[in-house]
Amino acid sequence: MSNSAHHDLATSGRTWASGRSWLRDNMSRFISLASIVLLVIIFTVMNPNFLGAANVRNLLTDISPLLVMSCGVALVLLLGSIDLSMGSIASCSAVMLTLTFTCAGWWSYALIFLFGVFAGFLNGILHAKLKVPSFIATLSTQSIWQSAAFLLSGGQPLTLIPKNWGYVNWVRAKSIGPIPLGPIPPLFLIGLVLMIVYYVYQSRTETGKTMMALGANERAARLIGLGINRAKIVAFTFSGIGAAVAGMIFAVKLKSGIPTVGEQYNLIAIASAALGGVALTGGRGHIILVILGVGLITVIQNGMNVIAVDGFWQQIVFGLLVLAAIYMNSDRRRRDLVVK
Amino acid sequence: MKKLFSALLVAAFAATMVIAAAGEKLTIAVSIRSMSSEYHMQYVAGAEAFLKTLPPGTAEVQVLPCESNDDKQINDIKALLASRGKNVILFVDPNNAPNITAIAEACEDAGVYWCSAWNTPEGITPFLYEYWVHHQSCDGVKQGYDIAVNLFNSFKTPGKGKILVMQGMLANTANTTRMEGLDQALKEYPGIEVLDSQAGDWDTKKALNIMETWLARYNDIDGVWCASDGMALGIVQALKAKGLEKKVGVTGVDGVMDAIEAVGTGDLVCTIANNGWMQGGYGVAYAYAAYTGKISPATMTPRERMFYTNGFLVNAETLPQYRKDFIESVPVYDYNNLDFPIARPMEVE
Repeated sequence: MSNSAHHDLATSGRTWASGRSWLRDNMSRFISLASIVLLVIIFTVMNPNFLGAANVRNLLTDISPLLVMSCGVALVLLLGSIDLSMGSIASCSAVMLTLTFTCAGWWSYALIFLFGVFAGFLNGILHAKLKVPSFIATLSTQSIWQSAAFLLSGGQPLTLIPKNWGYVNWVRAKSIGPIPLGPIPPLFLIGLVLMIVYYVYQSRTETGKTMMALGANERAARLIGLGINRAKIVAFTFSGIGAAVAGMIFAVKLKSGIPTVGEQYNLIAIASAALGGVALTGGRGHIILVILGVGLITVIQNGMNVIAVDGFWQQIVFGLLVLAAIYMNSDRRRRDLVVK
Repeated sequence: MKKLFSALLVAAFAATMVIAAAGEKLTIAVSIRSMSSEYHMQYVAGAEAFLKTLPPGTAEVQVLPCESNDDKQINDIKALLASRGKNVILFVDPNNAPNITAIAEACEDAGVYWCSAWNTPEGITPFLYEYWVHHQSCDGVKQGYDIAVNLFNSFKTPGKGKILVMQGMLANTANTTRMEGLDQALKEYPGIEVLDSQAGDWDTKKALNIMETWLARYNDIDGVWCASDGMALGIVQALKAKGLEKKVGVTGVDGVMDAIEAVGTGDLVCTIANNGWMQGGYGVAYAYAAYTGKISPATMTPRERMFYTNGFLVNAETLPQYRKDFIESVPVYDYNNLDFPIARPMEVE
């Protein structure tokens, strides 16, 4: 639900008429959820194992890296900017985590988190302070971090040596202390926590709200004295953190540091955020709904293998479903709608 | 308009329902990098050839293309295992070597027999797992060495000349082993000078672009050692644009049809056909034998669980034989003879 929708609800006294109006205005937001439900029903009818515990665990694990990346880039997209360096930051993080376990042990996770802060902060400084367009700034840092990943790994995919497996085996945990997790994998909980933190920050803090405001109209936001540069730097830093966490997820999941592991995820993360209702033009969207876009993409990819769609057809079916979903998810009733 | 899209959505699913499997059949899954790769599709053709040896309607082949995405490869395999239970066997060419560990753990948890080709990290072997039947590979070092020696001996003065090196993807095991073979050959041929080495990422267009840059920079190139056929064909295109084809020797590896034809026209000095039909066919044949209880990984010899397969060096001399065996007829194998594909065992510490 957007801020304007909250406002509508509050001022209308929650009358039945305003409730219907709110429902109509927000209907498109729920179509992603409806699309997921529809797909889950169809996939389950075709193969009941789709909703089996093993596959639910698979789905939630698959969602995790894309979720943290998409939530991060969603903040950047709210600014009306873009971050193309996420995949490379993730690749570099995966390589660094694999390398540092031997010398830093559990502290490796903290080190890579700090690397994500640094990489994202650098993007923010380049964009906000040095006034480099985000597309160019992050395209440049994408190359830098990709090369760094190759240099650190010696151009080789790094396998986590068995003596360090103890640092990643928590990924298969079925409980946290006495609390059983059921089919929920620990990696998904990490994604969920990060998403909630980003959501709370974006929707409850002044800097978070500034991100939305400057995406809608940067000039106006500047005139009323909002902290534009701070909001930009924080958004890019959060995106860097999301990418680094995704890289760590890749590393622990694959037990390896592959220097190209994240490169495919830049556009998928952006597409997931867009499917979750984040406008690529900025100023519109909701972090919490990004999970619907991520879920939709993951359910489609997973489901096609579960129901054995022929490999030649998978990309066609995937493209058609995403197109149909984004069409149904977009609100075309606005009179001022501009499509570029 | 919305109704039209909804109808399209429904139609897409109707199509998938037609394509989808009936459920109870054995699924013979082949996990590959890409369906656009002729070599990887040879795996699939090999698996389909094996399928024809089974009673009709008892099994089906499912292809899992990962499109060079390591995470997708693992996700796809796990989704398949979750949906089919133990009623599946698997042949995998890991996108990168470290993927093997995650795949092995997933198959071990699911109790599914599987075989692998090409990429496996040091120290991770089938001997550590109950359901990993075998790992096979073409000898990348030998391939890199053989094409290098063929190239060097094709020069005006055999063993003396200037070469450029087009590598594949830097982080890929096939590339690093082929490069190791090149390095061995270079030590034996001190008259060869390497002008430059670049990564073409297994991509035809990227290789073409790099070659165009090289041609603008270097005047006296005798040959290009290239780590794959796809890239070699891009290089030949760049040479043709400058009228330098057949004057600059080019090598490839994989044995795709266009490269075989290029060897015939003299545009390529040589390539090595990896024989994906045999690799894919025997990959699933071994897994099926374990699935049916005909063999047991626990009692298989080390030679059967980790071995090299023979490739076929195709140059001007051997091309007629290759045409006869692999083009004019589809290779047919006796999948009951599981010893056939083993050229020699891998050395494992």
